[in-house]
Amino acid sequence: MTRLRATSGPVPRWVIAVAIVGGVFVLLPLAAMATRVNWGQFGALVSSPSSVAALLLSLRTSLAATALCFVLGVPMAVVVGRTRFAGQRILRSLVLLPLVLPPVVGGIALLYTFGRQGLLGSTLSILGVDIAFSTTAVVLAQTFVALPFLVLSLEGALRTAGTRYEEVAATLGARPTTVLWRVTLPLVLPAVLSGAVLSFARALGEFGATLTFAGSLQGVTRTLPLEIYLQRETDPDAAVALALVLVAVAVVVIGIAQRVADPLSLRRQGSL
Amino acid sequence: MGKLTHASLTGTPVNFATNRLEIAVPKGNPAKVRSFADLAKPAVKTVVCAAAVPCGAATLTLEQLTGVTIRPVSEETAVTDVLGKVRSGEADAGLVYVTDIRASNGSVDGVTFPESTRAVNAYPISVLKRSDNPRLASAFVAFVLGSDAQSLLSADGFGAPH
Repeated sequence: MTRLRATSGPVPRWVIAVAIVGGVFVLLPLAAMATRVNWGQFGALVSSPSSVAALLLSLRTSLAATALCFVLGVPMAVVVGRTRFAGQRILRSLVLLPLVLPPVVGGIALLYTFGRQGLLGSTLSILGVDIAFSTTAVVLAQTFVALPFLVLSLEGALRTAGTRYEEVAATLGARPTTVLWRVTLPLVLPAVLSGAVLSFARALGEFGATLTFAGSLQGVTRTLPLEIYLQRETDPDAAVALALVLVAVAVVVIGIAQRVADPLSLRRQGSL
Repeated sequence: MGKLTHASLTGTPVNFATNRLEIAVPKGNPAKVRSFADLAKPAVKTVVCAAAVPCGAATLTLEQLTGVTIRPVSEETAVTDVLGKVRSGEADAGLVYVTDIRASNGSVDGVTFPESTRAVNAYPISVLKRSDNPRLASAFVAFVLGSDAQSLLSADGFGAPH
């Protein structure tokens, strides 16, 4: 039997005991679901045209949402984490709001913003952009719920990394943009990557906002979670099989996140 | 109900009400939908139920019987989601039940169409064989089939059982 080894100071036994209970609480429902999978039909169930369309759409939209999170989230994290201004604390809380909002609320809010009758809807339709019921709507819904993950993860890293290297670079004559690209972002790269992977994972699981805001149509807006919800109506076997696929993808994504974040951050800590 | 009777969990079910589809449109009917065939027009954004749920199955039956092919912008899992998308004005039309439009308190307008009588969904009722209180259950079934409950159902837009 392998003994648990504490990396820094001993961990009380009772903490380990409670941690095990917590782990079981997370894993047991997933294991229970796996026992309900109809393995004989598994291949056929997950390779039906509607399942494949849903999986591909989910991967495509989640990637697009992650890219959008990166483009918007990195500047947001830099502003929140590296500047001081009046009302900054309030702004920081507001940015993280999608984390605590039920996704359905996010969907309703997006509808009233980008929908046909929404705040920007008439302007957008004059420009010929129709977001309702489109794949764009799915990406917007996913970005809305996933953005705080990237901002939060990067902002924390920016705070702990400090600004010593940036100050040195500035005294050596580097312009702010050069400092950002050449010093700041390389320093917090693991946090950027793990934040992006977390955003991707959140986008992949997005359900409520998509259903409310984008609708549900095969190949256009029906992502994997929506397909699972629909299949549950008629074919519980297919729903469970697809749920397992979603869990598998999520496990792979989390694995990647830890792999990209850990070695780099350890190396960085060692060098500081 | 089919699954329950197939598994011999109930007695012979009796229909207590029926429902048929009606077109829900936003107030004022901006896309000027007048008939079932209008739903197939590309300019009309139509939302329907997914074929996996009963209102979607009825929609599919009507499409097959009439030869009208609707290209929906969304296939919702619940009839209330169809109604929601029409109410918010995101969709120009949605296929919902007569009773949904009746229950919407005027937040949407309804467009009836004669073809709707060709796909009628029936609601069966039956006492479970393993009921803890079969007498009470039978009394409830009798109440639902009785004239008081039937007039309530009829007031909400449900059709008479056939």
